[in-house]
Amino acid sequence: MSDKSLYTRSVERALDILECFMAHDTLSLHEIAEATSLPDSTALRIINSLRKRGYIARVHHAKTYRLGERFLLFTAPGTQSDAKLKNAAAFEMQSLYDCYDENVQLFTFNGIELCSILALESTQSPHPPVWKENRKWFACAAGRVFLAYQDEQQQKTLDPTAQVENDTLEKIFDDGYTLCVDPNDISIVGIAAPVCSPGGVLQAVLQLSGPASRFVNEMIMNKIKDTACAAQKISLQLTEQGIAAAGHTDHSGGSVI
Amino acid sequence: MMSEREFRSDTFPKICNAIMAKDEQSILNEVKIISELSGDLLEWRADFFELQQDPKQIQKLLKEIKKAAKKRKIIFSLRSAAQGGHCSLNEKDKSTIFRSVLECGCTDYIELEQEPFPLWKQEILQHAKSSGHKVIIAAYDYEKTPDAPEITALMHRCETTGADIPKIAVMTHGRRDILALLEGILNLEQEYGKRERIVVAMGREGNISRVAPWLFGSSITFASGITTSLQGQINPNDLTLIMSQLRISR
Repeated sequence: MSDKSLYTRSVERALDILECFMAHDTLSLHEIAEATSLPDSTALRIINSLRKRGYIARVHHAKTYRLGERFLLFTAPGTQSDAKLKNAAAFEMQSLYDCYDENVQLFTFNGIELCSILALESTQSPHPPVWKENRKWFACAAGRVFLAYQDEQQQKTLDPTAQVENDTLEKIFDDGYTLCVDPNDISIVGIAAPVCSPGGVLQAVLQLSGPASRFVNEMIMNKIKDTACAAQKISLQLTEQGIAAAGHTDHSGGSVI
Repeated sequence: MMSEREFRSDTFPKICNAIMAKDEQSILNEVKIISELSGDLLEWRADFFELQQDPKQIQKLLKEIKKAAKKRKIIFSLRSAAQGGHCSLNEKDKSTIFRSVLECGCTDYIELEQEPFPLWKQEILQHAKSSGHKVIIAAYDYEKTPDAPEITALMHRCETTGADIPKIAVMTHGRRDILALLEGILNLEQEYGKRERIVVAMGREGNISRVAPWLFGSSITFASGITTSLQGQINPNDLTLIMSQLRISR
C-alpha cells in the first residue's frame, strides 16, 4: 500500500486552511488560497464546508474569514480565554456597576448558547435575576449583539424565525450598542455592547440591565454611553493584554491568537 | 412575567410616547430608544424643536423619525403656548409647517387644537383627510377640570369640527375631578355614541386614566418619554404590564 493511500487529501487541505488562523485573526479568501497553495475555487469549497459546520465564519461587513465559534466547544468552561476576558473586564464592569447599581454581566458565546462568565448583581429593589446558566436567548440585548456578528447562515440557525430583524442587527455596527426589552419579561430593559479583539472579532458582550422603571428616563442616554464606552475600554484592555502575551510567547516560540 | 406578544391585540389600548427633545440628534436618539420599548405610537411634539419655524428642517427630520420609528405610527403636533405647548409661531407660519408635514407624508396623524379653529385649520383638516392622514382635534386645560357638561360640550365640539379622533386632556386636583371627567365622557357616549377618542386626566389622581383608559372611553394612553415626562406618566413597559393585568382580571 502506498503511503499516499493512508491519507485523505481534502482533510489535510481543510486542516491547512484552519492552521492559517494560528497566525492571523482574519484572512481573505485569496490570502488563504495563497498560504495553502490552493486555487481560490478549491479553497472556497473547503471554506464553505467548514463554515457550514461552524469551524470558520465570515467577518461581518468584510470579505474576510475567521475561526468559528464551534471551536469554543472543544474547551471546558472557565478556561484560559475566559480568565483573560474576566481579567480585562473586571475593572470596567465594577465602575459601571458602582455608577448605576444595576445588573452588569459579561457574556461569551459557545457556538450554541450565551454563557455568563462574570456578573455583578444590583442591590436595588426590584432587579431582574442574574442568569447563571447558559441560554439560547438571542432576542435579548446581549444575544442580539452575538447574532449581529454571525454570518447569515449562522444567524438563520440561531434565530430561525428571524425574531430579530436584520435592520436591528445592522444598526449595532453603526451605533456600537443595542437596547431592547427582555423577550420574556417586558418590565426589563437591557443595553448591550460588543467587546472585540483588535481584528474586530467579537470576544464577548457587556450588558447592563434593569427594570424599565429605572431605565426609561433622562438617564438612559448616559447608561447607553457608559456601557458602550466600558465595552470599548475592555476591548482596548484585551488588545494590551494580547500585545503583552505576544511579547511573552515570542520568547517561548508559541503563537497567540 | 409576561412577554409583549402575549397580550397585544386590536382592542388593547394603544400606547403613545411623546418626543419632546429640542435638537435633531436628541430627538432621533429618543425615537430610537422609544421604538425598542413597548408601545404603538410616537407623538413628535415639534413645538419643542429648536428649528420649528423651518419647514425644510421639519420635513427632513420627519423622514429620519419615520425611519427610526420602525413600525410605530407617528403623530405630529405643534402645541401653542396657550394650550400648554411651546410653539411661538404665528398662524401663517403654523399653517406652512402643517402643510409641509402633510406633503412630506411621513406622519399618520396630525393634531390640531380645537380653540381657535380659523380658516387655515379647516383647510389643513381637509388637506389631511384627502391625503389619508387622521386628524386629532384636541382641547386642553392645564389648570383645572371643567365641570361635566363643559367636558361633554368641549369633546362634542372637537367631533363636530371634523376630528377623526377627538381628544381632551384636563388637570385633575382630586377625586371629584375624576368623577367630573367620567361623568362628562359617559354623558357624551350616551348622547352621541361610542367612537375612537383620547381622554387624559393629568395630575396625580389622573393616573387612573393612564392605566385604565378604557374606563374613560379612551383608545390611546400616554406613557412617559425619555427626556421629559409629565406628572402621572408611567414608562411604556410597566404601563403595558399594568393594563394587561387589569384587563385580564376584568
